[in-house]
Amino acid sequence: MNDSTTAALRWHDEAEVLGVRVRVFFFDPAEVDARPDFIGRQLPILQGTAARLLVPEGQRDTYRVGGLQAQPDAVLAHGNGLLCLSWRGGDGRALDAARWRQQWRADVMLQAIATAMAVAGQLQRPTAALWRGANLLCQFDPGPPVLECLASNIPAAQRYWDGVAQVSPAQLASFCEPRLRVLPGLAAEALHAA
Amino acid sequence: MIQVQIASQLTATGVDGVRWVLVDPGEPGSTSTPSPEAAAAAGPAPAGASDEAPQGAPGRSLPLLKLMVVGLGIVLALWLAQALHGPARLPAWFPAEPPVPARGPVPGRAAPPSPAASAVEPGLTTSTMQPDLAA
Repeated sequence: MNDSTTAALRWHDEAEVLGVRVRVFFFDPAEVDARPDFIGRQLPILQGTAARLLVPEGQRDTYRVGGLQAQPDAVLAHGNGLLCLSWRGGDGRALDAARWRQQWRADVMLQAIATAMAVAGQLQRPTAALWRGANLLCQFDPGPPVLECLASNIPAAQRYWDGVAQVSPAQLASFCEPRLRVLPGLAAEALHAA
Repeated sequence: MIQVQIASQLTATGVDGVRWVLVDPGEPGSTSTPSPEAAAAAGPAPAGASDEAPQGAPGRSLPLLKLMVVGLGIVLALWLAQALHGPARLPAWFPAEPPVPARGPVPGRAAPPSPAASAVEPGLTTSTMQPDLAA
């Protein structure tokens, strides 16, 4: 594993997956899940920081940008920006720290990014996209092709999903994933990763 | 367009390295609502601006307006041509009506003899005739 030197946070590994830089932090779920505070439990890499929930724990707000509507599991204020955290999605299995790339689900990653886009668009603040799995926390840094694909395909996804007024992150992600897989640069990367 | 900023890095004190992308605000009349911060940042609406389109919006009435202008132009041109050159004549290729026969005798030919009754004006009825003349 490569310890990331990114901004003093000790990520355990990182990789480029379908045009997204993924940073992962593994933890022991038995120990982390027993922590009393929300930050320590859901964002273990940020334990002890000044991040704070925008709405009380367990309450979900709705965020919209254009035709995209999302209900993130938690939104936190963190310094000069926001954290958009999702823990739904996925199959609930713990990922192997040595083989997590092969076990990775791109749809979960794209959903988390789309959810963060809705939060960032409505609140007009820079927002980090995070996903917490059974034994890992991930931060996503989407490249321009991924952001453009998600942003520009919202109307097309609305039409595809029977003309819904608001498309969900899951619907947008499932619409965009096959398109991202055939983008020239990302297709070669995906082939190499496989 | 709505600007969306996604942080590329996470630090212990905040976020860093912003990537941004523009999102289409969507169809007018959709349920999306701008945030209070975005509305405040946008400032007051310009004078005369309104969320609702006025009746007879230009997008809908433009073809009708064009048609009206063209029709008015044609009517004006016809009226002007008639005022300057008199009533419109039929073109040369149009089948002309047969000439109206002259009431008087055709020169060079003798008028056929006509009975006395035929001398009565066509518009007169028998009730207005003189009895002598009718006999």
